[in-house]
Amino acid sequence: MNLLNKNNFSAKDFIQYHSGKMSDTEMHEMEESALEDNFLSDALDGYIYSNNAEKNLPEIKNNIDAKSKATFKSNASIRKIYFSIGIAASLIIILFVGYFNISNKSEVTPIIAKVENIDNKSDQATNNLNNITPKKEIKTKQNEIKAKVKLTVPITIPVDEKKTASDAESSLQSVVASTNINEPPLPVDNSIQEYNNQTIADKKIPISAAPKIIATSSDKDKFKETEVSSIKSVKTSNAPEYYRAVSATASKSEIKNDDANNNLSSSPVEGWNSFNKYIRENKKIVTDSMKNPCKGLLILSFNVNDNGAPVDFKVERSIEEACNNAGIKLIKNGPKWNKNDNNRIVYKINF
Amino acid sequence: MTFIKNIESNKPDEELILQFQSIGNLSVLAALYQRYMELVYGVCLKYLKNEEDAKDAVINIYEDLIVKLKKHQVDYFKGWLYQLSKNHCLMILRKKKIISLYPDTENMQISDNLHLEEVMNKESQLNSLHKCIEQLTEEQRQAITLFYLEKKCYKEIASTSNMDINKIKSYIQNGRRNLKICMDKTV
Repeated sequence: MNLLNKNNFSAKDFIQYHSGKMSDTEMHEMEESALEDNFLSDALDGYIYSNNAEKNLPEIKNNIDAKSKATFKSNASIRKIYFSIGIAASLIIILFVGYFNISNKSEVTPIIAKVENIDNKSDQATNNLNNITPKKEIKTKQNEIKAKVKLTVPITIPVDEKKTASDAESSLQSVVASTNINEPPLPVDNSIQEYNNQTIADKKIPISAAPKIIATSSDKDKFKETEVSSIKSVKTSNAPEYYRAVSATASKSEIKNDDANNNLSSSPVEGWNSFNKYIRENKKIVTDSMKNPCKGLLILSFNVNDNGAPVDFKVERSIEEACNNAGIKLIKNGPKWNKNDNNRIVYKINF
Repeated sequence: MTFIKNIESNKPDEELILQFQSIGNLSVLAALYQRYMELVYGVCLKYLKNEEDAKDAVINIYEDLIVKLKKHQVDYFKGWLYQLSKNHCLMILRKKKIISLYPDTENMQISDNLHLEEVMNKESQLNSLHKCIEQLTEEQRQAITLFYLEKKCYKEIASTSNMDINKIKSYIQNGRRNLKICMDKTV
């Protein structure tokens, strides 16, 4: 994590990553950085939905610049008005004092006019800025260890690998050393956490608040599920005093669902596991029979009608028409759905 | 405008924030925001899954920023902006009521802000690292080894190991966490 977008990854890089125009080494570099930076990781995930980023981003930039200019102009006109009012007020005061002196026929005393610098405030601000010492960023370095220890993991490392095994090990060692384990693992990717109708991000929730949890999830290996009131909660073995409320968006294609949560939104009658299995097994059959096999990510969205059939398909991310239709056909001919709400289901098929 | 941006281009985020807070010049804020605009756009796309909505959200987040940055003291702008952007998108989703609540048990990741500390230069720790790698589950061990030791990208790992590309990231994240726990025990 760094002050600036330290690796200077841009929208262009994200687009290249998803379109497969990046080399494996470059992809690895980006993935490694994304593992250290949730902002970068989310952004990288997001660009998979982008078809027009190169057109949209300059438009957004222009819009923001225009807003800044507009406000700057209005501020300038307000300053002009204040300036004029100030001058007018000064003249009135001078005239009034002059008239008062003449009418009282008192001895004329010289009036010393004191001119105040109207730029005092801005001068002060400038001085403040000059006194600011920019916080220096502390950069840590990887790959400083040169210990020579043979790998005990039965993996063959290519001879032409530029980095030595010990460099890689050192790198991994430093990454592991910096890993924070105080918090239990969380499904950050595509997940939404809610608590007491507030949006929370990666926060612990006290046990006392557990009944307010909307939905939860668990990692089979490390988490133990328990029932609290009428809703489900997750208890971690590492931090038993906390529960976590976790829910994911509808975009996951590989989501494991359980019956307790099926009543929250529309879902396959036979459960998500069974549905995902159906897609995995049948997508090969569909694509193998095609002249040009489909490759890439297809994202579809659809509604579930009252009869439990998926209808009203929309292609959110297209591969090509034949593949899009194959994907739609696959879902249409698949298992039935339980309709629980009117929300659209978003489903990804990775051909 | 361009002139102002050129001046601001090399200044740290914190300096630009103070400049904006003291003078209120929006050009400074625009220059700061545009450093991260492409990341914000990506985050919005991830949550909203629609380019037009994401476009509007990026502009609205900038407008939020004008108000909020005047009131808040921000020590680490990038992290703060990430949370602001994420929360903004989540609020949009909630208003639209298109949030579907599924438990996600496969894509578990560590949420902590990971940062690199100083490298430990001890051979004994390398030995324990190897022992700990062996104790990982097969998938985690394979993912960690291929990613960190062989510098393979997710796509390559997926093709050589027959693992689902969606799960590789989770295996790496959770593998790292288990390695850390194991290393702390042995060291």
